[in-house]
Amino acid sequence: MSEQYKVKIDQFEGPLDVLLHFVQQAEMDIQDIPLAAITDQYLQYVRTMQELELDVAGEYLVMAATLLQIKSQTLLPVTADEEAWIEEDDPKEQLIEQLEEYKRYKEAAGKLQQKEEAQQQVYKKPLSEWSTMEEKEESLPEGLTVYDMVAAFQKMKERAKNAHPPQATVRADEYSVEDRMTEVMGELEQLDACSFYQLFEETRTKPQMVVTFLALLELMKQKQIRCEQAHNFDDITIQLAEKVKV
Amino acid sequence: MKREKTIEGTLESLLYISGDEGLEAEQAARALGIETKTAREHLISLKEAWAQREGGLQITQAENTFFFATVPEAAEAIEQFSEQQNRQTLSQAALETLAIIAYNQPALRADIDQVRGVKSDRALQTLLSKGLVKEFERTQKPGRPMSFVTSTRFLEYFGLETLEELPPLEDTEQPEQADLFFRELYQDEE
Repeated sequence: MSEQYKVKIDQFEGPLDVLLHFVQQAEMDIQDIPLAAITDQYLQYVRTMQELELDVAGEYLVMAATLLQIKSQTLLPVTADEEAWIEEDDPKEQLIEQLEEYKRYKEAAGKLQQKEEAQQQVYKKPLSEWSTMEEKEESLPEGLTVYDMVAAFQKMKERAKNAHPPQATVRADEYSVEDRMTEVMGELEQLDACSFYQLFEETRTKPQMVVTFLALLELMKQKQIRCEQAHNFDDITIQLAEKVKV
Repeated sequence: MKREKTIEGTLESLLYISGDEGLEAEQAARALGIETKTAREHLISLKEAWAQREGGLQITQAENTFFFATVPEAAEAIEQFSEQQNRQTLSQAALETLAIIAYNQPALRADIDQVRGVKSDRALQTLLSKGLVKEFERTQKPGRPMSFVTSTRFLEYFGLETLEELPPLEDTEQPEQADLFFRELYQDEE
Protein backbone atom coordinates (compact mmCIF):
# COMPACT_ATOMS: atom_id res chain seq x y z
CA MET A 1 0.00 0.00 0.00
CA SER A 2 2.65 2.49 1.03
CA GLU A 3 4.73 1.51 -1.99
CA GLN A 4 1.86 2.42 -4.22
CA TYR A 5 1.55 5.86 -2.66
CA LYS A 6 5.23 6.52 -2.74
CA VAL A 7 5.17 6.47 -6.52
CA LYS A 8 2.09 8.63 -6.75
CA ILE A 9 3.37 11.33 -4.43
CA ASP A 10 6.00 12.35 -6.91
CA GLN A 11 3.45 12.63 -9.64
CA PHE A 12 1.00 14.94 -7.95
CA GLU A 13 1.24 18.64 -8.36
CA GLY A 14 -0.70 19.53 -5.24
CA PRO A 15 -3.94 18.76 -3.40
CA LEU A 16 -6.12 19.62 -6.40
CA ASP A 17 -4.16 17.19 -8.52
CA VAL A 18 -4.67 14.48 -5.90
CA LEU A 19 -8.40 15.13 -5.77
CA LEU A 20 -8.61 15.20 -9.55
CA HIS A 21 -6.84 11.87 -9.61
CA PHE A 22 -9.42 10.33 -7.27
CA VAL A 23 -12.27 11.76 -9.32
CA GLN A 24 -10.81 10.39 -12.56
CA GLN A 25 -10.08 7.08 -10.88
CA ALA A 26 -13.77 6.86 -9.96
CA GLU A 27 -14.50 7.63 -13.62
CA MET A 28 -16.88 10.36 -12.67
CA ASP A 29 -17.53 13.87 -13.78
CA ILE A 30 -16.33 16.48 -11.31
CA GLN A 31 -19.91 17.70 -10.91
CA ASP A 32 -21.07 14.24 -9.90
CA ILE A 33 -18.36 13.28 -7.47
CA PRO A 34 -19.36 11.54 -4.27
CA LEU A 35 -17.58 14.08 -2.14
CA ALA A 36 -17.81 12.02 1.06
CA ALA A 37 -15.99 9.07 -0.49
CA ILE A 38 -13.39 11.34 -2.07
CA THR A 39 -12.82 13.07 1.26
CA ASP A 40 -12.06 9.74 2.95
CA GLN A 41 -9.67 8.80 0.17
CA TYR A 42 -7.95 12.14 0.38
CA LEU A 43 -7.51 11.98 4.16
CA GLN A 44 -6.09 8.51 3.83
CA TYR A 45 -3.64 9.79 1.27
CA VAL A 46 -2.46 12.64 3.51
CA ARG A 47 -2.12 10.23 6.44
CA THR A 48 0.00 7.89 4.35
CA MET A 49 2.21 10.81 3.37
CA GLN A 50 2.71 11.56 7.04
CA GLU A 51 3.42 7.92 7.81
CA LEU A 52 6.09 7.95 5.15
CA GLU A 53 7.47 10.96 6.97
CA LEU A 54 7.16 13.09 3.89
CA ASP A 55 6.92 16.76 4.47
CA VAL A 56 3.24 17.37 3.97
CA ALA A 57 2.91 20.78 2.42
CA GLY A 58 0.52 23.18 4.13
CA GLU A 59 -1.72 23.22 1.06
CA TYR A 60 -2.54 19.54 1.54
CA LEU A 61 -3.66 20.18 5.11
CA VAL A 62 -5.73 23.19 4.09
CA MET A 63 -7.47 21.00 1.53
CA ALA A 64 -8.08 18.31 4.14
CA ALA A 65 -9.65 20.95 6.40
CA THR A 66 -11.82 22.24 3.57
CA LEU A 67 -13.04 18.75 2.74
CA LEU A 68 -13.86 18.05 6.38
CA GLN A 69 -15.70 21.33 6.62
CA ILE A 70 -17.80 20.44 3.60
CA LYS A 71 -18.46 16.98 4.94
CA SER A 72 -19.56 18.28 8.36
CA GLN A 73 -21.81 20.85 6.75
CA THR A 74 -23.68 18.21 4.85
CA LEU A 75 -24.23 16.28 8.07
CA LEU A 76 -25.58 19.20 10.07
CA PRO A 77 -29.14 20.41 9.76
CA VAL A 78 -29.27 23.68 7.89
CA THR A 79 -31.40 26.62 9.03
CA ALA A 80 -33.08 28.94 6.54
CA ASP A 81 -30.61 31.74 7.31
CA GLU A 82 -27.67 29.51 6.79
CA GLU A 83 -29.08 28.20 3.55
CA ALA A 84 -29.02 31.70 2.11
CA TRP A 85 -25.42 32.07 3.22
CA ILE A 86 -24.44 28.74 1.71
CA GLU A 87 -26.00 29.67 -1.62
CA GLU A 88 -23.76 32.67 -1.72
CA ASP A 89 -20.48 31.31 -0.54
CA ASP A 90 -20.67 27.56 -0.66
CA PRO A 91 -17.32 25.85 -0.04
CA LYS A 92 -18.56 22.83 -2.00
CA GLU A 93 -19.31 24.83 -5.05
CA GLN A 94 -16.06 26.71 -4.67
CA LEU A 95 -14.13 23.49 -4.48
CA ILE A 96 -15.86 22.09 -7.54
CA GLU A 97 -15.17 25.26 -9.46
CA GLN A 98 -11.57 25.12 -8.38
CA LEU A 99 -11.27 21.50 -9.42
CA GLU A 100 -12.80 22.19 -12.79
CA GLU A 101 -10.58 25.14 -13.35
CA TYR A 102 -7.51 23.19 -12.38
CA LYS A 103 -8.56 20.37 -14.71
CA ARG A 104 -8.87 22.80 -17.60
CA TYR A 105 -5.35 24.07 -17.14
CA LYS A 106 -3.95 20.64 -16.49
CA GLU A 107 -5.37 19.58 -19.83
CA ALA A 108 -4.04 22.70 -21.46
CA ALA A 109 -0.62 21.89 -19.97
CA GLY A 110 -0.91 18.44 -21.55
CA LYS A 111 -1.57 19.97 -24.95
CA LEU A 112 1.37 22.29 -24.52
CA GLN A 113 3.49 19.29 -23.70
CA GLN A 114 2.49 17.66 -26.98
CA LYS A 115 3.42 20.81 -28.81
CA GLU A 116 6.70 20.96 -26.92
CA GLU A 117 7.48 17.42 -28.00
CA ALA A 118 6.61 18.15 -31.63
CA GLN A 119 8.68 21.29 -31.64
CA GLN A 120 11.71 19.50 -30.27
CA GLN A 121 11.93 17.67 -33.57
CA VAL A 122 12.87 20.96 -35.14
CA TYR A 123 16.42 22.21 -34.86
CA LYS A 124 17.87 25.67 -35.32
CA LYS A 125 21.46 26.69 -35.59
CA PRO A 126 22.86 29.15 -33.08
CA LEU A 127 23.16 32.81 -33.98
CA SER A 128 26.23 33.42 -36.12
CA GLU A 129 29.08 34.63 -33.92
CA TRP A 130 29.07 38.40 -34.12
CA SER A 131 30.94 38.91 -30.91
CA THR A 132 34.24 37.43 -32.05
CA MET A 133 34.10 39.32 -35.35
CA GLU A 134 33.55 42.59 -33.52
CA GLU A 135 36.45 42.00 -31.17
CA LYS A 136 38.84 41.48 -34.05
CA GLU A 137 37.68 44.64 -35.75
CA GLU A 138 38.27 46.68 -32.64
CA SER A 139 41.89 45.60 -32.29
CA LEU A 140 42.78 46.72 -35.85
CA PRO A 141 43.82 50.29 -36.72
CA GLU A 142 41.37 52.03 -38.98
CA GLY A 143 41.78 52.88 -42.66
CA LEU A 144 43.68 49.79 -43.73
CA THR A 145 43.22 48.54 -47.29
CA VAL A 146 44.19 45.42 -49.13
CA TYR A 147 47.10 47.37 -50.65
CA ASP A 148 48.60 47.86 -47.22
CA MET A 149 48.55 44.14 -46.87
CA VAL A 150 50.24 43.62 -50.25
CA ALA A 151 52.90 46.19 -49.36
CA ALA A 152 53.53 44.44 -46.07
CA PHE A 153 53.84 41.16 -47.89
CA GLN A 154 56.39 42.58 -50.29
CA LYS A 155 58.46 44.02 -47.45
CA MET A 156 58.45 40.66 -45.85
CA LYS A 157 59.66 39.06 -49.06
CA GLU A 158 62.47 41.62 -49.22
CA ARG A 159 63.58 40.82 -45.73
CA ALA A 160 63.53 37.14 -46.51
CA LYS A 161 65.78 37.72 -49.52
CA ASN A 162 68.39 39.56 -47.40
CA ALA A 163 68.29 36.91 -44.80
CA HIS A 164 69.37 34.39 -47.47
CA PRO A 165 72.05 35.97 -49.77
CA PRO A 166 72.17 34.56 -53.30
CA GLN A 167 74.21 31.41 -53.59
CA ALA A 168 76.47 30.35 -56.46
CA THR A 169 78.06 27.04 -57.15
CA VAL A 170 81.75 27.25 -57.86
CA ARG A 171 82.89 24.39 -60.00
CA ALA A 172 86.40 23.13 -60.06
CA ASP A 173 88.34 24.33 -63.11
CA GLU A 174 88.11 21.86 -65.88
CA TYR A 175 90.48 23.83 -68.02
CA SER A 176 93.40 25.45 -66.34
CA VAL A 177 94.94 28.58 -67.77
CA GLU A 178 98.38 26.97 -67.54
CA ASP A 179 97.35 24.00 -69.63
CA ARG A 180 95.83 26.25 -72.23
CA MET A 181 98.97 28.39 -72.33
CA THR A 182 101.07 25.30 -73.11
CA GLU A 183 98.62 24.25 -75.77
CA VAL A 184 98.65 27.69 -77.42
CA MET A 185 102.45 27.78 -77.31
CA GLY A 186 102.58 24.32 -78.90
CA GLU A 187 100.31 25.43 -81.71
CA LEU A 188 102.31 28.57 -82.29
CA GLU A 189 105.50 26.49 -82.45
CA GLN A 190 104.08 24.62 -85.41
CA LEU A 191 102.64 27.59 -87.18
CA ASP A 192 104.37 30.79 -88.00
CA ALA A 193 101.44 32.86 -87.07
CA CYS A 194 97.94 32.13 -85.90
CA SER A 195 94.84 34.24 -86.04
CA PHE A 196 92.95 35.12 -82.85
CA TYR A 197 89.72 33.66 -84.22
CA GLN A 198 91.50 30.46 -85.19
CA LEU A 199 92.42 29.84 -81.55
CA PHE A 200 88.76 30.07 -80.60
CA GLU A 201 87.52 27.78 -83.33
CA GLU A 202 88.14 24.69 -81.22
CA THR A 203 86.59 26.16 -78.09
CA ARG A 204 82.99 25.12 -77.57
CA THR A 205 82.07 26.22 -74.11
CA LYS A 206 82.20 29.49 -72.30
CA PRO A 207 84.76 28.31 -69.75
CA GLN A 208 87.00 27.18 -72.62
CA MET A 209 86.75 30.57 -74.30
CA VAL A 210 87.47 32.38 -71.05
CA VAL A 211 90.43 30.16 -70.30
CA THR A 212 91.84 30.67 -73.84
CA PHE A 213 91.47 34.44 -73.52
CA LEU A 214 93.15 34.45 -70.10
CA ALA A 215 95.96 32.24 -71.44
CA LEU A 216 96.61 34.71 -74.26
CA LEU A 217 96.66 37.64 -71.86
CA GLU A 218 99.06 35.80 -69.60
CA LEU A 219 101.33 34.89 -72.52
CA MET A 220 101.30 38.52 -73.66
CA LYS A 221 102.19 39.66 -70.16
CA GLN A 222 105.10 37.19 -70.07
CA LYS A 223 106.05 38.50 -73.51
CA GLN A 224 106.10 35.06 -74.99
CA ILE A 225 103.75 36.09 -77.77
CA ARG A 226 103.09 39.19 -79.77
CA CYS A 227 99.74 40.32 -80.96
CA GLU A 228 99.18 42.62 -83.89
CA GLN A 229 96.03 44.18 -85.18
CA ALA A 230 95.95 46.23 -88.36
CA HIS A 231 92.69 48.04 -87.64
CA ASN A 232 89.99 48.12 -85.04
CA PHE A 233 87.82 45.04 -85.11
CA ASP A 234 90.22 43.26 -87.45
CA ASP A 235 91.45 39.82 -86.76
CA ILE A 236 94.45 39.70 -84.47
CA THR A 237 97.60 37.96 -85.61
CA ILE A 238 99.43 36.11 -82.89
CA GLN A 239 103.06 35.09 -83.20
CA LEU A 240 105.66 33.67 -80.87
CA ALA A 241 107.73 36.53 -79.58
CA GLU A 242 111.02 34.83 -80.28
CA LYS A 243 109.97 34.16 -83.88
CA VAL A 244 109.18 37.82 -84.38
CA LYS A 245 112.57 38.75 -83.03
CA VAL A 246 114.28 36.20 -85.21
CA MET B 1 10.45 41.72 -60.07
CA LYS B 2 14.21 41.55 -59.88
CA ARG B 3 14.17 43.92 -56.91
CA GLU B 4 11.65 41.69 -55.14
CA LYS B 5 13.97 38.75 -55.60
CA THR B 6 16.90 40.69 -54.21
CA ILE B 7 14.94 41.61 -51.10
CA GLU B 8 13.89 38.04 -50.45
CA GLY B 9 17.38 36.76 -51.10
CA THR B 10 18.81 39.22 -48.61
CA LEU B 11 16.13 38.33 -46.08
CA GLU B 12 17.06 34.70 -46.53
CA SER B 13 20.68 35.51 -45.72
CA LEU B 14 19.62 37.46 -42.63
CA LEU B 15 17.47 34.54 -41.51
CA TYR B 16 20.42 32.22 -41.88
CA ILE B 17 22.69 34.49 -39.85
CA SER B 18 20.04 35.01 -37.14
CA GLY B 19 19.70 31.29 -36.42
CA ASP B 20 17.84 30.46 -33.22
CA GLU B 21 17.69 34.11 -32.19
CA GLY B 22 15.28 34.66 -35.04
CA LEU B 23 14.87 37.61 -37.34
CA GLU B 24 12.32 40.23 -36.42
CA ALA B 25 10.50 41.85 -39.32
CA GLU B 26 11.38 45.24 -37.86
CA GLN B 27 15.11 44.47 -37.64
CA ALA B 28 15.08 43.15 -41.19
CA ALA B 29 13.26 46.24 -42.43
CA ARG B 30 15.87 48.48 -40.82
CA ALA B 31 18.73 46.51 -42.36
CA LEU B 32 17.20 46.68 -45.82
CA GLY B 33 15.83 50.18 -45.58
CA ILE B 34 12.27 49.09 -46.28
CA GLU B 35 8.97 49.29 -44.41
CA THR B 36 8.39 46.79 -41.60
CA LYS B 37 5.12 45.81 -43.23
CA THR B 38 6.90 45.10 -46.52
CA ALA B 39 9.61 43.09 -44.77
CA ARG B 40 6.96 41.06 -42.98
CA GLU B 41 5.11 40.36 -46.22
CA HIS B 42 8.30 39.21 -47.89
CA LEU B 43 9.21 37.01 -44.93
CA ILE B 44 5.79 35.39 -45.06
CA SER B 45 6.08 34.86 -48.80
CA LEU B 46 9.52 33.32 -48.23
CA LYS B 47 8.06 31.08 -45.56
CA GLU B 48 5.43 29.86 -47.99
CA ALA B 49 7.99 29.32 -50.73
CA TRP B 50 10.12 27.16 -48.45
CA ALA B 51 7.07 25.21 -47.33
CA GLN B 52 6.19 24.51 -50.96
CA ARG B 53 9.71 23.41 -51.65
CA GLU B 54 9.29 20.56 -49.13
CA GLY B 55 13.03 20.43 -48.53
CA GLY B 56 15.09 19.92 -45.42
CA LEU B 57 14.67 23.44 -44.10
CA GLN B 58 11.64 25.47 -43.22
CA ILE B 59 10.94 28.97 -42.08
CA THR B 60 8.97 29.15 -38.86
CA GLN B 61 7.27 32.15 -37.40
CA ALA B 62 6.46 33.37 -33.91
CA GLU B 63 4.51 36.58 -34.24
CA ASN B 64 6.91 38.96 -36.02
CA THR B 65 9.99 36.83 -35.59
CA PHE B 66 11.11 34.37 -38.24
CA PHE B 67 13.48 31.43 -37.99
CA PHE B 68 15.31 29.05 -40.26
CA ALA B 69 14.77 25.56 -38.88
CA THR B 70 15.11 21.94 -39.88
CA VAL B 71 12.01 19.93 -40.72
CA PRO B 72 10.61 17.40 -38.22
CA GLU B 73 11.08 14.61 -40.77
CA ALA B 74 14.83 15.01 -40.41
CA ALA B 75 14.81 14.83 -36.59
CA GLU B 76 15.71 11.16 -36.36
CA ALA B 77 18.64 11.47 -38.74
CA ILE B 78 19.85 14.63 -37.00
CA GLU B 79 19.82 12.89 -33.64
CA GLN B 80 21.70 9.95 -35.11
CA PHE B 81 24.18 12.29 -36.71
CA SER B 82 24.84 14.47 -33.67
CA GLU B 83 24.60 11.50 -31.31
CA GLN B 84 22.46 13.46 -28.91
CA GLN B 85 18.88 14.30 -28.30
CA ASN B 86 17.30 17.62 -27.70
CA ARG B 87 15.06 16.33 -24.93
CA GLN B 88 15.11 18.64 -21.99
CA THR B 89 11.45 19.11 -21.29
CA LEU B 90 9.52 21.30 -18.93
CA SER B 91 8.19 19.84 -15.67
CA GLN B 92 4.49 19.32 -15.13
CA ALA B 93 4.50 22.20 -12.63
CA ALA B 94 6.16 24.51 -15.15
CA LEU B 95 3.74 23.47 -17.90
CA GLU B 96 0.71 24.10 -15.70
CA THR B 97 2.04 27.46 -14.59
CA LEU B 98 2.78 28.37 -18.17
CA ALA B 99 -0.70 27.35 -19.30
CA ILE B 100 -2.29 29.54 -16.63
CA ILE B 101 -0.20 32.54 -17.67
CA ALA B 102 -0.75 31.89 -21.37
CA TYR B 103 -4.54 31.83 -21.11
CA ASN B 104 -4.87 34.65 -18.57
CA GLN B 105 -2.18 37.12 -19.41
CA PRO B 106 -1.29 39.34 -17.77
CA ALA B 107 -1.46 36.93 -14.81
CA LEU B 108 -0.45 37.40 -11.20
CA ARG B 109 1.45 34.94 -9.06
CA ALA B 110 -1.66 34.75 -6.88
CA ASP B 111 -3.80 33.71 -9.90
CA ILE B 112 -1.41 30.86 -10.61
CA ASP B 113 -1.32 29.68 -6.99
CA GLN B 114 -5.09 29.91 -6.82
CA VAL B 115 -5.67 27.71 -9.86
CA ARG B 116 -2.99 25.18 -9.03
CA GLY B 117 -3.76 25.07 -5.33
CA VAL B 118 -0.04 25.15 -4.53
CA LYS B 119 2.72 27.71 -4.48
CA SER B 120 4.25 28.04 -7.93
CA ASP B 121 7.28 30.20 -7.18
CA ARG B 122 9.81 27.67 -8.36
CA ALA B 123 7.95 26.86 -11.55
CA LEU B 124 7.59 30.56 -12.30
CA GLN B 125 11.28 31.11 -11.66
CA THR B 126 12.13 28.34 -14.12
CA LEU B 127 9.89 29.89 -16.76
CA LEU B 128 11.41 33.33 -16.22
CA SER B 129 14.95 32.01 -16.46
CA LYS B 130 14.10 30.15 -19.66
CA GLY B 131 12.64 33.33 -21.07
CA LEU B 132 9.27 31.71 -21.71
CA VAL B 133 7.47 34.30 -19.60
CA LYS B 134 8.42 37.83 -18.71
CA GLU B 135 7.41 40.45 -16.20
CA PHE B 136 4.72 42.69 -17.58
CA GLU B 137 3.93 45.44 -15.07
CA ARG B 138 3.24 46.16 -11.45
CA THR B 139 -0.50 46.15 -10.95
CA GLN B 140 -2.45 48.62 -8.84
CA LYS B 141 -3.59 45.86 -6.49
CA PRO B 142 -2.51 45.86 -2.82
CA GLY B 143 1.21 45.19 -2.59
CA ARG B 144 1.51 46.20 -6.24
CA PRO B 145 2.16 42.61 -7.38
CA MET B 146 3.98 41.99 -10.67
CA SER B 147 1.98 40.56 -13.54
CA PHE B 148 3.42 38.12 -16.07
CA VAL B 149 2.93 37.51 -19.78
CA THR B 150 4.30 34.94 -22.20
CA SER B 151 7.18 35.91 -24.48
CA THR B 152 7.84 35.44 -28.19
CA ARG B 153 10.19 32.67 -27.10
CA PHE B 154 7.12 30.93 -25.64
CA LEU B 155 5.45 30.91 -29.06
CA GLU B 156 8.65 29.70 -30.71
CA TYR B 157 9.19 26.99 -28.10
CA PHE B 158 5.75 25.51 -28.72
CA GLY B 159 5.71 26.17 -32.45
CA LEU B 160 2.90 28.70 -32.31
CA GLU B 161 2.71 31.65 -34.65
CA THR B 162 0.41 33.69 -32.45
CA LEU B 163 -1.37 33.34 -29.11
CA GLU B 164 -4.57 32.71 -31.08
CA GLU B 165 -3.10 29.37 -32.06
CA LEU B 166 -3.19 28.17 -28.47
CA PRO B 167 -5.47 25.14 -28.27
CA PRO B 168 -8.82 26.30 -26.87
CA LEU B 169 -9.32 25.83 -23.15
CA GLU B 170 -11.81 23.08 -22.71
CA ASP B 171 -14.87 24.44 -21.00
CA THR B 172 -16.00 21.82 -18.54
CA GLU B 173 -18.17 24.19 -16.58
CA GLN B 174 -21.77 23.16 -16.80
CA PRO B 175 -23.70 25.15 -14.22
CA GLU B 176 -26.95 23.26 -14.69
CA GLN B 177 -25.21 20.14 -13.44
CA ALA B 178 -24.39 21.75 -10.10
CA ASP B 179 -27.90 21.10 -8.85
CA LEU B 180 -27.62 17.49 -9.84
CA PHE B 181 -24.43 17.28 -7.84
CA PHE B 182 -26.06 18.61 -4.72
CA ARG B 183 -28.95 16.24 -5.03
CA GLU B 184 -26.63 13.28 -5.41
CA LEU B 185 -24.39 14.46 -2.63
CA TYR B 186 -27.27 14.71 -0.21
CA GLN B 187 -28.59 11.33 -1.32
CA ASP B 188 -25.11 10.01 -0.71
CA GLU B 189 -25.07 11.23 2.85
CA GLU B 190 -28.55 9.98 3.59
